Amino acid sequence: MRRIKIENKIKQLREQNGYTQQDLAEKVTVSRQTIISLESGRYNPSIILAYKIAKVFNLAIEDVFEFDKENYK
Amino acid sequence: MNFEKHLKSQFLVAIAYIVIGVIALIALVILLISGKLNGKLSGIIGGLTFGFLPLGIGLLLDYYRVKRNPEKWKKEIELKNEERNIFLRNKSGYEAFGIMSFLMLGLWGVNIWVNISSSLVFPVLLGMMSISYFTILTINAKRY
Repeated sequence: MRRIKIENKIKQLREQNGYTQQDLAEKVTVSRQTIISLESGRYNPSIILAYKIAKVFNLAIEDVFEFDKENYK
Repeated sequence: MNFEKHLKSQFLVAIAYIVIGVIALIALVILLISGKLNGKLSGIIGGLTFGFLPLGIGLLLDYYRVKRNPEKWKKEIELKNEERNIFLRNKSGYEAFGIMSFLMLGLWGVNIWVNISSSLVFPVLLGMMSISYFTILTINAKRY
């Protein structure tokens, strides 16, 4: 089965807000490794984690994560 | 998770394991001195002693470690229950199960021609299960 990749702006937003990977990890109670995996697009978060991350940046989920409609055909 | 409740249950389990281990150890010594220890009995009582006693001692040592530093424990629990780690464990678990199914099927096939002893197959399967799970877990941790 093909893995659906969800593009995200976590790295860009994190750097804009002056957070380190560790800072963001602590804010959303995950490990730094998870943030690394999310930023590189290797791991797709659950809706709860996606919501927590979006909340850190005061944005909506769809402003942080971009669903590629082509993948859902 | 309730910290006090967790600590209390860990302490009780540790003590229970130690008690079982000590009773088995005493029985082992008594049977050894009286010369009534046979192969099967030594396997069962030896297994109980060397299984429960070290595990109980380990749990008791962990209990004191956790009691000294509750914050570190809370962090460990958080990381253990973190969604990526759960995902990695689940995925590695079912992939390892798939490999083990093929291995068992292969062994069953081999058994048609060559008679394989079950006392050899079970420890090998048990070892292969751990090895395949941790290998897949390492690969998945790098992949995801």
